[in-house]
Amino acid sequence: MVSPRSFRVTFDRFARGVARVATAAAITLVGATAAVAESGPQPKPQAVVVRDAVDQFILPRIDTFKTRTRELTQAVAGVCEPDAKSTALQAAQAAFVETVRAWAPLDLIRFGPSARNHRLERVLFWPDPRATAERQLNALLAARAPELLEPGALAAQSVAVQGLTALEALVFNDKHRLGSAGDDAARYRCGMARAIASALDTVAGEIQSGWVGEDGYRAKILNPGPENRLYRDTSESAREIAKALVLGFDLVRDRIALPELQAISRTPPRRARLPFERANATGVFLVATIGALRDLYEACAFEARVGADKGWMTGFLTAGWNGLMVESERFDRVRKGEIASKDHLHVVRKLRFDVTSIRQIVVRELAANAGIIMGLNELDGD
Amino acid sequence: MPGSSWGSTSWMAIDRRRFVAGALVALAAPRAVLHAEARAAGQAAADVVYAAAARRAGNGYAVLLVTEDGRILREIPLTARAHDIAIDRERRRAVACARRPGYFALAFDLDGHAEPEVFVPPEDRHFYGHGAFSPDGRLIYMTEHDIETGEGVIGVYDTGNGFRRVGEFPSYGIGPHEAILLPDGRTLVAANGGFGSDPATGRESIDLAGMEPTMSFIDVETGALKAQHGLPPEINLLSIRHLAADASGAVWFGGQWQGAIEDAPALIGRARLDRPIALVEPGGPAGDTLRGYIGSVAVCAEGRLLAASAPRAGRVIYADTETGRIVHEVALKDACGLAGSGPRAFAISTGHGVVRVEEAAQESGALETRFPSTEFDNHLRRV
Repeated sequence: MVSPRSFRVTFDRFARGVARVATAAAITLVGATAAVAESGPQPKPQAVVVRDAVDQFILPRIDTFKTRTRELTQAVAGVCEPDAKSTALQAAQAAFVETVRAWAPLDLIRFGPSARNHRLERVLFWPDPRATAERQLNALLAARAPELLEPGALAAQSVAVQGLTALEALVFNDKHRLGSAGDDAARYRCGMARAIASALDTVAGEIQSGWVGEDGYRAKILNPGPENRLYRDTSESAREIAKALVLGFDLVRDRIALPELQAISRTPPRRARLPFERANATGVFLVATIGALRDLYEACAFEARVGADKGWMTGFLTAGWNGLMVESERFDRVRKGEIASKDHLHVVRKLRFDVTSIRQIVVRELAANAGIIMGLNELDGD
Repeated sequence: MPGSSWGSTSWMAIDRRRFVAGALVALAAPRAVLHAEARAAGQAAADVVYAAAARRAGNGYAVLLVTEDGRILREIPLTARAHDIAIDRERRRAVACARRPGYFALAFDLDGHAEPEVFVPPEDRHFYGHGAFSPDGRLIYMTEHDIETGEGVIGVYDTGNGFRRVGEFPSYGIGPHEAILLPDGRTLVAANGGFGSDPATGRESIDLAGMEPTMSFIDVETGALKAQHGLPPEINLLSIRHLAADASGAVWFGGQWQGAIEDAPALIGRARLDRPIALVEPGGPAGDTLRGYIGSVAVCAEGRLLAASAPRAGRVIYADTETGRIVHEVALKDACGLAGSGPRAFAISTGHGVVRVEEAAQESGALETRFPSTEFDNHLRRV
């Protein structure tokens, strides 16, 4: 049992750490802050924030994701050709990782076409604490129903077997190497992998098409008004964008940082189960998510919303974002090393600290200064 | 352990024992302070007093006892966010329930005559944020999650014996959120939200597509299921979360839509032991205009009017429980906590530190008070 005194000590140390960072930022970046004030990012009106977030962040990334799922479908089909080259599996695995990289920025866009028809879960079934995806996939593989391999047939099955989580179990499987050579079971696994990749490509296409056209989601979110049931004014659509950014911070914290920290803080330390471990792509997913958060943050021009009396915040945010990039790049490496090593603990704690700090500043300061007020219950009610 | 500056934060659920230690630190108020609070409570005996969890600027989380005119009678600091406060009015006690996934509950004397007690769920359980006292106050029923199986559980705790866990029975569903005891003192209604969450990944929902939200009517004497009502498959993403019983015995719920906002159905409905769920009559605000989320529901003292808060839409709507029709609504940013405050009056709390008391069907005459540096959390209870 940790004593109250030791709790206080660790908490005080944390508080001192924050104070040190803030002070250092304030001292060393006074000049930089002044320069930013003159030539730094300029604040955007809320309508421009929404437009830029949609046109410069969301839509290009949806297009990229659609391209990647098409390439993944082709690569998986290549593995399953009777005369597949020996490098075909590697190509499929690489295509899978690129699809993960392309999905990461979209995982935080949980409104619009992604939110309909369980598309988010059909792309990525996570969290999956009881390994439901693999369990259900194995049941399908054991049954070997040929009709499930028909185009579109998987859409009627559990969402757990339709997306990246299930496909990862097939494409990265040392015990049952993916390929059409071998027995009926091997050929069925290949057929299932093709069906899942194809289902992913279909969902990507649905998300893409859902944003375009007169009735598409782009038109809805860019044209708020009394007749618009989803967004009555610009503040509501701007809030949607800001909430996506905040959700992204929460996802990094809840999916990556906290499970890892919880596991390695145990005695003895344990391995956490994180997304895309089998594909060795947890770090790829994390790096892509952090990069996406930074891009969305910049699309919102939130840095220009630092209050005139809080110049230190600019340096603090810069240090925080730089820290997130460094920690996410190091994440896979420290996990592969000695578990709960000094480096391992430091990277994970720092990741949690930076993502929590920036989230708090965005909600309480930057978004608020931009007129985007996100209440405690609105943002995270239960 | 390395001497990292990032060694700890106020998020203490990493280690449940450590968390409880943190909570105890917060509770280690000197006896003199408790006595002072008791005197303050005595002086305020004539006041209308509310209890709520809150986030306080600079001070983290807390349980607050507040008056309508803006005074904070008591503040109990917490190291993590609480959700609802279960009240035992007759014995002047309350239990603040940790928010999902919760690992502590804080029992305290409303008048400050005794030091608070912390109790925790077993290792393989977490709290969902709500609890209900038995009529005699001997027991409290807590909504819980069996982490291993994912099933919902009602944990039973002996309030007179250090809140020792003395039993449990199923909630007959996944993700029990609020549970209320009906006036017969024997039937517990549990709102099974329909989805679980993995403590390792915080509050992220598991398998929304497979949701099966229900209202379970459970005999607390035997733990047996007396009746259960669900939703049609086409609206299975409507998580049933918050409950209130009206004067006729109908149990009303407020839901949280887990799908796209544009697909959200009506979010409020009712059921009885012997009648299935019916959503509110058409003509009221649709689910999309309420932004898919009802934060809490309450019935006024007279028992006829229901209030439902929609914090994402910044609205509170009032329904006539006899006709099922919406009779009035008010706009209030981040309004969420609701408590009956008179025959036909309600108190509303917001994440912006406002407590507003108003007659449900009147356009004017509301009393609105702002508590500085305070964000009221999900629920508000009249003490």
